[in-house]
Amino acid sequence: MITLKQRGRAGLQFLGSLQQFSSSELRDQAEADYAAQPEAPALAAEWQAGDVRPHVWRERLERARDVVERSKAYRYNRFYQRFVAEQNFVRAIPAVEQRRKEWEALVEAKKPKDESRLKLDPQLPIPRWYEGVEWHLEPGGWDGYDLAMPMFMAGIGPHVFALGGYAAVDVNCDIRSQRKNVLSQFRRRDFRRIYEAGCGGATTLAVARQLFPQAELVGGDLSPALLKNGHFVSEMMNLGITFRQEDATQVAEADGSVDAVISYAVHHEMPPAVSAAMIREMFRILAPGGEMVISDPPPFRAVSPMQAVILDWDTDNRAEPFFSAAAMANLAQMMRDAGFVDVEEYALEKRGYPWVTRGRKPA
Amino acid sequence: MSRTVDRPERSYLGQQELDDVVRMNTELMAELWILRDRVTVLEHLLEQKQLIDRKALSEFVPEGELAKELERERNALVAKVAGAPHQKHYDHASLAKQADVG
Ligand SMILES: C[S@@+](CC[C@H](N)C(=O)[O-])C[C@H]1O[C@@H](n2cnc3c(N)ncnc32)[C@H](O)[C@@H]1O
Repeated sequence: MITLKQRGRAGLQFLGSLQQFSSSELRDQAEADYAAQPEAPALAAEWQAGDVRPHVWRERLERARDVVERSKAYRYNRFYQRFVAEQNFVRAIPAVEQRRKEWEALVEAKKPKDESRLKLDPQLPIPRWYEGVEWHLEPGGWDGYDLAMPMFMAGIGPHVFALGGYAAVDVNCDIRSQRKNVLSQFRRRDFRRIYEAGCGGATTLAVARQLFPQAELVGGDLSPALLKNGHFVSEMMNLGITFRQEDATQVAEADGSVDAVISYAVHHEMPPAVSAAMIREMFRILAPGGEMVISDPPPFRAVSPMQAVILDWDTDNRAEPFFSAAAMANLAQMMRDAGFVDVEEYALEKRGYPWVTRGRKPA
Repeated sequence: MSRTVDRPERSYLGQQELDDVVRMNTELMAELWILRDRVTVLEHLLEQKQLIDRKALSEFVPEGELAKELERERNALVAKVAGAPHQKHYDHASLAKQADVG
């Protein structure tokens, strides 16, 4: 792997420190300020009422936000969260450009010899809701930058994201061990073929390889750039994962052909109707007795009013167009509607994240 | 067309101009850190090559010409920054006085 020059490294490390301060000290103060507000108990009681229709959520969230925003610490917390979210790219792009030659040489030297495990489909229709979105404030989106991989792996990943404290990920949480924890929620260990819908750059599949060393691993995603990255890493590390460019609502697997399905951090990036279609498709490809484990940010009903306000904030402030819609949806219900049984939902760590929804296709 | 990455029009701190000032401040904090990181790396490398002794650097007390130079620079910096909001006009005489700094 490559490393950044001093200026790029130190600048990103500064953002990591700022985000950590903001999501611990400022966040804790904001929480204390909120708890001291006279409206807090009534809002908490309303949250207990569980599922409501989207327009009721909107109205509730607006009232909660007015109370939360009285805190100066909260306002600065949001200011810094937004600042770091955009500055990640403002600082990492010039830093990684300084290593362009080294990176291109490395890619050339380690070019996968076997292309058979990467199937791209240039004709694949890209859904309208997906096209052109600059997810997480990344200019050009998932497929907009040829150095996105080293930008994350050598820059934003280790220096900022690894510290947690953004979106649903709590401060000091490690997104790698969270993935391991989530994959341990499968009830069985004897899977022969595992499919991940929306596998991106294979971060989760790489962890799955450790837990399921014998299983065939297959990942599908819409983004050719992420699939290529995943394939590159998989071939370099001998993980033997197969990658296919396809829509998670229509995948190239025969009925009943996989034993387990993973969905990690995907549903908050799609409209709820697409989530429901994807879950039905996963039910179709699962063999009888097969399992599906989903991990995503928690629904509003599963967190405190203040945490709900914070999750809702990502929609308009961190380029997550479907974050709020997904947090109003009910994945467990979607799974039951699709035919899954033994459906359960629960949080693994603090503040409702990772939020797991799991179920089984009847044997 | 507005893009997702465009800065939102609303302010986070109550007023656009206040956001702007805190943004500038945060940018400066980043630059200050980058510089401090660099100085620390520089000292470390110089010490490794046995060109300086970091302890001696901390214990060093400037005297004579060097002390005067630092004082001139320090005063000029303070006057420039603290004086910025009070600067009403500029002329040759006042600007020429700055010529011996830096
Ligand atoms: C936040 S990433 C998560 C990637 C991966 N699951 C992981 O754990 O790192 C979300 C991924 O979902 C993909 N995605 C979104 N909608 C999709 C769809 N309809 N079909 C396939 N992939 C989709 C995106 O392209 C993106 O790679």
